Amino acid sequence: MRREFDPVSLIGGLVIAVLGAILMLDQGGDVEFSAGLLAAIFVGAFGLIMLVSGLLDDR
Amino acid sequence: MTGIQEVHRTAPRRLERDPDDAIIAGVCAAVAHRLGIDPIIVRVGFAIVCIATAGFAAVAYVIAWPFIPEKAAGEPSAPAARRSGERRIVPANWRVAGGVGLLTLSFLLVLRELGIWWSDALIWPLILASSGAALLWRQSRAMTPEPEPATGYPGAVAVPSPPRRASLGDLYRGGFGIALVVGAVLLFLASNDVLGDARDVVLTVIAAIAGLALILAPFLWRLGRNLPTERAERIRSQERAEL
Repeated sequence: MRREFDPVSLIGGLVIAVLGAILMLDQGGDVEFSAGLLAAIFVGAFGLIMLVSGLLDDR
Repeated sequence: MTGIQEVHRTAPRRLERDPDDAIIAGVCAAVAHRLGIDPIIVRVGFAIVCIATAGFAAVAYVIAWPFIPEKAAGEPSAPAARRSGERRIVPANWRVAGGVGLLTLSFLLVLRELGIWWSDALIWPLILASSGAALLWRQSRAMTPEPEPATGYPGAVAVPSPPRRASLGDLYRGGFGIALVVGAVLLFLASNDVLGDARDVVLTVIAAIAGLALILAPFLWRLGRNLPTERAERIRSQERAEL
């Protein structure tokens, strides 16, 4: 079955991919993120997806 | 909104997996559909919980898989329902307000981590104020009539629609946005001891408003519950009149 293009899923997937990349860099020791900064990034990612989901719901 | 969509919106939602809306087994989508939010929000939340619990949440997913029944064949799938204009329980305005609040929190946390910070007392007032402002902005946007598209002939101009009447839900969202902003200002003033002697007066006023809200809540609740029925009835009578 052909799926319809869903921009919320696309943006959500991109955000999760960026989160994964940040976590990988942190685990690899390439960059050092404190727990507070990681929490801020997670909260921001969740907020961004909620915002996009709400804004694109009026289409 | 048509009468069919209205009835669909008010129908109870069951916890069912939808194969058309699944990435793995559709557990997250089932929970999202039950809560009336976008599945991507539950999926992101689940991914974060999975990372935080070192994968234990994935075990819970596998356990939940057989316990959540699959949607029966013939029922409309969630993507189809979304395309047909079904509204979610958590409306777009609230998601925007929540998203703005979370982004504000994230921004403040980053500033705090970077040492560009002056007071923790600002966090909650700023989050409440930004969420309230977002809600008010969405509300004002929703109340502004969009012009009717111009017809095909040359020289045609777009005609603005007449302003929409404010419904109870609009007033509720607008009032909540104002309450958030006012609460943020009061919280900020209280945390900085600016209110001083006025604090008792403010507390009295807040207590009185809370009491009034408790008294009026059942009436407003009943009114809100009856609105969809009345609207569906009105639509039906209009359709009968058109026929």
